[in-house]
Amino acid sequence: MEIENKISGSVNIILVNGRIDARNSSLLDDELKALIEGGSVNIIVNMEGVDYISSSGLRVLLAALKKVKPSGGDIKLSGLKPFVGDVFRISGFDSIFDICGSDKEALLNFE
Amino acid sequence: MAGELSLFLDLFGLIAVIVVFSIFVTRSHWFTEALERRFNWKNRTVLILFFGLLSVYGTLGGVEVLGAPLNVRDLGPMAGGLFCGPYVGIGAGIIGGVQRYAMGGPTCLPCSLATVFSGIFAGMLYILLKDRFAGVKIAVVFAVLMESFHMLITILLVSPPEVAYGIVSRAALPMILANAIGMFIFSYLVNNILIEKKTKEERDLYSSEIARNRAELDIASEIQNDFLPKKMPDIPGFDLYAMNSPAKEVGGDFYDFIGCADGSTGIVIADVSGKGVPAALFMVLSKTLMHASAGWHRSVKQVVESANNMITGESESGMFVTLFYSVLNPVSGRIVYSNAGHCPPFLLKSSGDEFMRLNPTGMALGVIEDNEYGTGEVTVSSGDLIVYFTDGITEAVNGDDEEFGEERLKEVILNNRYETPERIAGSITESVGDHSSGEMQFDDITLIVLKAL
Repeated sequence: MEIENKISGSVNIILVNGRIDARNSSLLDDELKALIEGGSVNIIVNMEGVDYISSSGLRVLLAALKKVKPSGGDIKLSGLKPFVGDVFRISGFDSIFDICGSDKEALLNFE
Repeated sequence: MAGELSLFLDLFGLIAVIVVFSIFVTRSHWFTEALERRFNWKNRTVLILFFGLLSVYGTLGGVEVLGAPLNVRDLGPMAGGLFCGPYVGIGAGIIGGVQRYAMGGPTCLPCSLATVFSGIFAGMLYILLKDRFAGVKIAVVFAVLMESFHMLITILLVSPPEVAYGIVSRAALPMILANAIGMFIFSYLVNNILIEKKTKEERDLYSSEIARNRAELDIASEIQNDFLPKKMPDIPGFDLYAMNSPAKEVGGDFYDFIGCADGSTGIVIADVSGKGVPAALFMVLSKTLMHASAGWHRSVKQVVESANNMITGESESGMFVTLFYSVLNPVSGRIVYSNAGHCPPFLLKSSGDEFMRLNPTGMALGVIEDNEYGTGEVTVSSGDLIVYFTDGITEAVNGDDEEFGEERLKEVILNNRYETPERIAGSITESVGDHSSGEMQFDDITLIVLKAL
């Protein structure tokens, strides 16, 4: 898994590539924790390059969401591949995360 | 020629003695104690004697180079003071100084004073460096400065001045060089020891961390194992088999059976997100709350909703559990279920080859409070099979990151549909094992196979 970080205004965009599974979900966890501890609450996780996400990955995203919600922030997801979208649907996580087609759409939803 | 050879041998002998002495002293437990700053009168005395002896040897073993005296008397007090503190430095300086003074000669006063001062200054530098030790550079520079100082007081204290100049001009360079080389050897050895010590400390820390991680894994796996039902429930007209194969980093899968008052049996399969002890503890919590809720409420919907509220209240770090709860009435063959974000179990009717997926009816437990859960209903009759599983099966990967997947799972079930649940479960785990052979099992594998007889 590779993680890239960019900033658009007050929103942080994290680009994730590869699989998010039990083996490496802690990398994403560290990245999100560092951002949130640094004061960022509006985060887009771009998952265009993600082929697979396991329940460990969902947990990391949920933990981050629970941290930013109280301060009015949000974690939005963009560019989910069909399989990844299915994981969110099956787990019901599609109803707690704002799932957007693109970063652009996610940025608009933040405004 | 013979003179040069014997000079070379003398010098070589001097250096060899310094090296042997340095190795011997630095490897002694007294010196180790000094490096750890654990001083007592015993190790101080021994070290004073050691370095004092080196100082005396520095005088007696001195050689003449082209008519210039060359000795390393100051080396002992310098090294002693620099690495073992002022007591050892000054003590060794006094021993070397007194012995030199007793020998007499025109330079006996400045030479013996310089040796005592070597110990004093080295001790002062030791105090200045506080919790650090002098590196090779500092030690060598110190030796050069100290020998220069030695030459300076020789000029000041020896009269007549012509004699003093004569001695110093011949002795200065070889003395400075010889002591610097001696100091280089000694400080180099000490620094090697310090590096070795640090590496060993780091290695010890690392291996204790590994031991702790291993212990944590064992604890997690024991917790998980202790909380799984020890025997299968007896359901008239049905055969049931459940198994769990924990991953190395236990994932917190569990299954459970609950006997309901009306003769029905509740069947739970669940997968806690996360790994290790936290996941194992969350598994215990979820299983207990689910068990209590199932014993308390009558409707499947209420059981799951109430368990969700209790689990959500306890989940702080984003942990959640996907769970499939079904209640089987063995008389009617009716199964009512609620699927909280769990991967859908497969129902294979005896009448066909098509699998029916028992799809989610709500979100994983522990995510949001007061969430509503729907229910589904199926009826099973003789020969029908339900395979409940966790994603450790479908998501087991081979060397090319290719998942075992639902299609392979369906194939194995179809090929073994007439076997007993235990045999079917065995075939499934076997082919998952074949698929991911050589790869580490990264997730727990849990399976329940239910068959209507």
